[in-house]
Amino acid sequence: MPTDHAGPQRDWSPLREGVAVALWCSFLAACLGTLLCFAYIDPAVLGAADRTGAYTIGFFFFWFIGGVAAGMSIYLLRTGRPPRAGRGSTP
Amino acid sequence: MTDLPGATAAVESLYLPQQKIYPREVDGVFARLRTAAAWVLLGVFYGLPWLRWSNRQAILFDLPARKFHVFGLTLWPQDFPYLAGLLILAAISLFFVTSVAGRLWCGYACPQTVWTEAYLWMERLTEGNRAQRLRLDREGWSAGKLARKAAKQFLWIAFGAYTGFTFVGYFTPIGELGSEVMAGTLGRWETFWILFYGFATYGNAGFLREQVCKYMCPYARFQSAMFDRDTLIISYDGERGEPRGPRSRSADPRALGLGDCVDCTICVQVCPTGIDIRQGLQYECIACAACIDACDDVMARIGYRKGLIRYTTENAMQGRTVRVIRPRVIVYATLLAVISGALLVSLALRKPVGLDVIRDRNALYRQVSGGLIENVYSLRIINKDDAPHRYQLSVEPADALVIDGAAAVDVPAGEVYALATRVRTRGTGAPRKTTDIVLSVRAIDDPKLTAKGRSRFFVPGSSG
Repeated sequence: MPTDHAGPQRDWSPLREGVAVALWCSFLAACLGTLLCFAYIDPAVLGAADRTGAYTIGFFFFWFIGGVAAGMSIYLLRTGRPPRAGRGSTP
Repeated sequence: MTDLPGATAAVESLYLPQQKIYPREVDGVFARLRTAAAWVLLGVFYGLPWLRWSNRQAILFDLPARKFHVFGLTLWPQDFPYLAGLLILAAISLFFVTSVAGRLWCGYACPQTVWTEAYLWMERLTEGNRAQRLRLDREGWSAGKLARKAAKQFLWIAFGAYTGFTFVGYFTPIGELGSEVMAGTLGRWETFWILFYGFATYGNAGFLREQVCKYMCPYARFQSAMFDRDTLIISYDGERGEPRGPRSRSADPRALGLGDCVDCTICVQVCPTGIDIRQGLQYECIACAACIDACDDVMARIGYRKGLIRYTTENAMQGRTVRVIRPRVIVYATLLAVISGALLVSLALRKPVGLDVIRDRNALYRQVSGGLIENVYSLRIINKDDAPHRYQLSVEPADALVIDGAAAVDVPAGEVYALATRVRTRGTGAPRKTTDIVLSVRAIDDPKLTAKGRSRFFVPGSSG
């Protein structure tokens, strides 16, 4: 979906925006992943002594994996050839 | 989005440095409505964990015990579909409200907006109104400035920490959590999550504010898909307002060739996302209606009609008829009714007992005395009820098979009872080949409480 926000409104640098968006999207995905994963898997059955600790580690694991995917996606989208005219953002 | 590697630094300088927005305080119908909504929502968030329900915290997502308590209802991990259904319901409600009334969620109910309001209120309390805050940030450091800034930080951090504490209180009994904090015996994970959530609140509501809506919120980007020409939006009446320009109060704008907009820019000053509504509908607009209040106030003061900026629809602006009931609204409403109906019915029909049946993996079958065949199953009886029950076990087909040993077990309230059950053939009519069987439990005191589990019964000479 085109996002035409290249105007005076834009005040975050691309780096800052990229990091924030990657962190935030992967955070949301990690919430969903943690919810789905631990609804079906009981860490105590897998031998975890402390369920809360297992949930926390699981959450950060999902966040990390999601962050890698989001960060890489943003990097690839930004460093490729410019989109053909008529596509993408128009000022 | 198209800069090449290495060009980032050059591109960066083309963008304006991030400008802090100092929203001007505003009063009016919608400001009061927004404040009331904030009080109610924050009250619910901070108050709910303290509510009791029959000797227990009314709302407790007891993650360590893997049970969710919602008033009289206790949900188990097996009840996950209810949670999924609830989330889908929340999403469709949002779509429904958006298609009818636009971004009401953003302006009045989104946690980002509500906590930003609370943090702005603390900022005003310590640093003063918009003009005072602008001046304070421009002037050099002094004892007075330090005191104001320190007071603001103290309030912000304390409020953030208490928010984190309340958040964790939804997952750990909040009374115990409170005494643990007081005694300094808080567990490390609880400490971590209180600090994490507290910091997130402080950062989001104190510093990021409208930037979350502008750069990070997916809803802000896709909400326009639910919009049509009959959706309620906040709009500036350009026809009436233009050409804008300052004039003296006594002047006749028509004689000067001016519209009703006096170009006082107060609508821009009050905007929490820093946009100019007069440039038309923009995706940064969170529909908080601060500009409506501000403009109405100015219009009233100079003796013009209110509503130069107002809640309206595209069709209404162009003088066409407005239809509230339209296909997309009907679709969302139908989905909402069907899903919430199904959820309620399934909750009402939900049986607070569960049974898991797993075949013993060590042996397919055993031959016991009298030429009888025996299979062993591991059962898990889950009593999801708030009362203890005694359950009767049974097996089908009953004419061929029988349970050997105790056929009734007591399971305390909210507990899982695991047992190994032996099923053997009856003397006559024993199955000659592997048979599908059904094991079931039935509460003796309440015959409606039943659960079933399927498995297979193996006999010699059968290959499965």
